[in-house]
Amino acid sequence: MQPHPLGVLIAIGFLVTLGLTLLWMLRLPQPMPKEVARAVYSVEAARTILVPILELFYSERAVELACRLGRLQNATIVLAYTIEVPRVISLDAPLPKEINERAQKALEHAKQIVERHELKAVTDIVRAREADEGIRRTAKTYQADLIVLGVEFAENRVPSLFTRVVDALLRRPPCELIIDTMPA
Amino acid sequence: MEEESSSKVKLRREISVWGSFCWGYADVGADVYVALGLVMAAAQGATPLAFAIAGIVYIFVGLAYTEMASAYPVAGGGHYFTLRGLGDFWGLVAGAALMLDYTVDVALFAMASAGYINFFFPAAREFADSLGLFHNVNLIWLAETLVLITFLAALNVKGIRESSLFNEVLGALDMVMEASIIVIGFAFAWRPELFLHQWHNEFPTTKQLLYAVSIAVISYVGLESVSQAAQETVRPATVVPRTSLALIIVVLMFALAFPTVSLGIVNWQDIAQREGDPVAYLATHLPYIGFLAGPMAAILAATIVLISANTGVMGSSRLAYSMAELGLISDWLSHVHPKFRTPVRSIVFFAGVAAAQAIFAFFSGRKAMETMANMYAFGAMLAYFLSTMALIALRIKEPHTPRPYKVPFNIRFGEVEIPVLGVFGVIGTFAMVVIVLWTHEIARITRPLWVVAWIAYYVWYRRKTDKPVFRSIPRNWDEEQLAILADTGEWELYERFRIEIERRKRLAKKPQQGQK
Repeated sequence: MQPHPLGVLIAIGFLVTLGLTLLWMLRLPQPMPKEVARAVYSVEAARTILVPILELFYSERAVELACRLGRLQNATIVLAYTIEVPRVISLDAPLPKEINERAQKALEHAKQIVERHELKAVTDIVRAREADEGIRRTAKTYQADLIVLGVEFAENRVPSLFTRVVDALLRRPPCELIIDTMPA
Repeated sequence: MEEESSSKVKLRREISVWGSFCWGYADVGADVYVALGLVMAAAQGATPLAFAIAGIVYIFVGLAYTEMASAYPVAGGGHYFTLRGLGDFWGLVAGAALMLDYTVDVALFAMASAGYINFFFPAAREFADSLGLFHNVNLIWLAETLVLITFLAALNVKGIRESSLFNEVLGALDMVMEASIIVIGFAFAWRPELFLHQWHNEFPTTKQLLYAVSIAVISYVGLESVSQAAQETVRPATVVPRTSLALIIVVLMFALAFPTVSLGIVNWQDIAQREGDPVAYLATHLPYIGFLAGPMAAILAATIVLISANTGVMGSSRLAYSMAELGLISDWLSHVHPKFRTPVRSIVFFAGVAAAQAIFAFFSGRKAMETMANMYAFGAMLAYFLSTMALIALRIKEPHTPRPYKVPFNIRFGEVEIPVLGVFGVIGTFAMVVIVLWTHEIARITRPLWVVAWIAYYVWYRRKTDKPVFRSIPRNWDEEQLAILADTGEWELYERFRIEIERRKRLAKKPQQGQK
């Protein structure tokens, strides 16, 4: 009986497909130990990341860091510009136009960074007597899982390395807190 | 106390990736030996088309099962998914439909195994006697069938280790043999002109083709077996998607290859006439190995269909275990033997049901195998229809459940993703239910009656135990899911799910705080 080329081709295709399918099935990925899984997914738990914004490089860099931390789990990035309102005036009193403009501009830059990562950005201008109080309140309002705070490295002020905001937040963090600073 | 402690004994988790695959393959691989002749008798030259049409629905159902079995790796399969997605009542209906299939599976394939054994004992094969009103009853074949059912029940009572090993060894052997028949057939004996001639000139009527499609769908029960075994599978969330997807591909390949190679080697009428041993007949027409192929195919068929029957025993007992655990049927059946750690009562009870169905088939006055095959497809299609509905319902109700595998092509509405292929699956399986009821004479009467009987029992049992009949028993699915994932050691999924639950709890508190 003369083999038909098409039949031979089908036979080879059948064998190869069968073999490859079974090989793929049998090659299981390694299991992840409980401790490793806990560490890995605790980072992915951050679905809402708050980044306090100022119109400065280190806070914009904090936005970039937050986006990279939140990319895998498609996190929402909350960008909050906090305005400290002196105690002599009421919290909702009109403020100079230029302060609002600065806030809007800083938020706009931060938002562009978030949009580059195709994540959802929420912007807010927060008024508070103290910046740390504003950040804490914003974290609660948006149910933030993580705050990423970029701060200026102040070499001359060692050992008081961080600002008063950082000190206050570290004493009583409203949620997980990452503080980023770069050597000058 | 002893009763209470023994009832808490869990099923052992010992099935490997190959074992999980073989549970499914054993079911489906065996179907070719039984279905090929039956399908060819109806579909004639268009037999590959009948398998292909059934295969399309099979893909939709298979993908749905893959997603749900990996997300919810517990014994129960389709009935559990349906209960979780659509509620207790529909879970019972799906369970009843699957139970029907498993018990028919046990009876049909034990019968087929005995039939292939009788290939070597023609006197036993031809034996016929009359008992009162019943004529042409083959009591020897019936006795062989009952012995095989009893043997399989004992094997399953002894424990999953033994029966899983049994499946794995014979599953591998069968796959090598089936692949050999196909490869040698295509490479050395296949004539495309004969295939095309039969395709063009021997095309069936629409009703014949639909009947053939409804027989061809019996191959799908294999995937249910993988889901059934998920609670006893090591790392099920990782293993089950792989075995299920591999099973979809491998089963389709074999299901399409057998009729295609057959029609290129012999006439469809020859295969159709050999309903009892079509593969053996095909094998005898292979060059070089043909003189040995008949007996080899008979031995092979006898073993593989026995595996399928074994899968049915396993599936029906695990299904009963799951249904009892979920409060759909009596707790009496969920008892796990403290020594063997297997659901002994379920195994014995449903093996008994299978034996009763075999006796009915032999005394029905028709060909016993034809009677059983006629009843086979209804249960599977009804359960698959409900399961594909459950896939969509679960996507809506539990979008946060981690899914190691997700059916592709989805339309997103907020956080909910509706699977387009799942919708096709619903349509396809519903069409199959209609086709089965239209084309199967026995099934259209006896099978709905079976489901109705189960519903009647369910209503009685739920009333007796003060449980809601048409509403579901309140359950904390999230906690149960966490317990399942912890039990399976799938820590990635466990952490993802735990974190998601905590997040949802926090979000749920938010409006309450606002109200204050």
